[in-house]
Amino acid sequence: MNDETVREQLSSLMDGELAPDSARFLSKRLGNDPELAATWERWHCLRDSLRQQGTLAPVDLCARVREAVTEESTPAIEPISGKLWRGLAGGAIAASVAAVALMFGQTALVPDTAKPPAAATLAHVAAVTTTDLTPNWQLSPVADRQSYLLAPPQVGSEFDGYFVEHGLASGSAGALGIVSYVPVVAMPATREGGDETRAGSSPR
Amino acid sequence: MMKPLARLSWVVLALVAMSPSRAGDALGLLAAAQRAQATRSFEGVVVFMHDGRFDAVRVAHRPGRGGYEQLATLSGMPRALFRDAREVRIESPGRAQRLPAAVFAAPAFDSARVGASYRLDDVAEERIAGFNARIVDAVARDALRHSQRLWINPDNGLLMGVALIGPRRETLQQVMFTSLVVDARQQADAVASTSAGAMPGDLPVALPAGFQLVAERSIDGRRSLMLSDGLAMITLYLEPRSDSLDRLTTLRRGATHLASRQLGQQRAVVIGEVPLATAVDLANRAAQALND
Repeated sequence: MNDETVREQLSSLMDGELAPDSARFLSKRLGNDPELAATWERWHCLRDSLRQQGTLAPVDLCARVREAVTEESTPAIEPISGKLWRGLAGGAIAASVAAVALMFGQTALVPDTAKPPAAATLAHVAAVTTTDLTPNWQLSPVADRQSYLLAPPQVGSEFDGYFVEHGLASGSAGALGIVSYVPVVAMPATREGGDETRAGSSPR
Repeated sequence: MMKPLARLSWVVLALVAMSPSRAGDALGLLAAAQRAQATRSFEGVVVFMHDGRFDAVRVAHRPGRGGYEQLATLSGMPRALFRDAREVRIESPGRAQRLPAAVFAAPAFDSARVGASYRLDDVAEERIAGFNARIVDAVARDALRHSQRLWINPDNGLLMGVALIGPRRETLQQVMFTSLVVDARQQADAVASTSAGAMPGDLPVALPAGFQLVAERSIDGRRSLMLSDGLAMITLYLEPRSDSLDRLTTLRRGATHLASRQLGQQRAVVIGEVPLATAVDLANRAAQALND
């Protein structure tokens, strides 16, 4: 079984769509494959961040959660499908407890390895307020907002995927790096606002 | 023996001669910003302004082997993205989308190419998210591209913000950090040194002035060509279609324009943070070339 198939199965397992036998097999593999376990964990962090309405746990925190779970709830996944979900639930509870313990039991969420440069110390202890940004913002022209109000977005355009692909390619091959991914996340295909202008057919 | 005043004059002249120009400073900052993407780990929150609204997005970036990017919206519709070397996973409530990772070697920073398309100026310093940032203005030399204003930390090279500026000096789109934590450790400099314009052999169409092919992918007869002028990016898709049409379609989201031109059973789709006219012109010419 190649890596891609395994990751497909992992995705199905996350979505609750994997057959019991396959789930049992994958759970064994998760216990023996640290890289796969890390992937599983990251995907869960990602999903958890959505359930918490946008609090993205730092990945280093996730690693600490994993360590805590490993220590406290081994074996979290039992090799029987019926018990698998109980095991996962147990692991999730342990992870939650561990996360709470880590978040409230530590003096700071910022990992030790993420110490800022000395010149930027204030950025980490002072709350960021809008006054930090106010001088730098130039609001969009009113015309843009009018077009947004007057032209409802087209949802599910056949070209949605091109916007995503372009954003991802720009993030990888472009000069601006991660900044290029921001529109992919913030301007999804089915977003609630925006403006799309279809010029229509051309006789050329 | 040289008199003190004359000696002082020579020192002043020497200092003047050594001080780099503001354009040179700007180029150095841009090069540092690209290098920092490959060497610096950071986490933070950015605000993204577009279409008269703004969204907050949490971001985490780890470069190098085992590197990844992670983003999640903090406002609006919940949505998150995770990218590593293998794949991209985009999650929204009730939906998970997996895409193959679009990992391309970023071209080496080409100061000559950037300088040919933009007039660069290191104009001022501001404070962003608690960090000092130099403001670099990249003013487009023609109407084929937008101008850009970039905020770059002079100490670690991180890009703190970027704004696309339209022809009437209006802000089309802006991304700005509001909080940032930088890992003090630095990865070994792993900036890919793929030379820009290394694969221009079979381009079916002349590219807009200043743009060069920087990466290419071909899957099932569909070619994706990534073009860059050093700052702006365009993706050109060349693809066969089963239906036969004569149609031009244009779309816009934020500052990103898409132009799709289908002629017969060939379609060229151009998408990028460029003016609509640039996208339409390239799509038209590419579709025509595919039919010739």
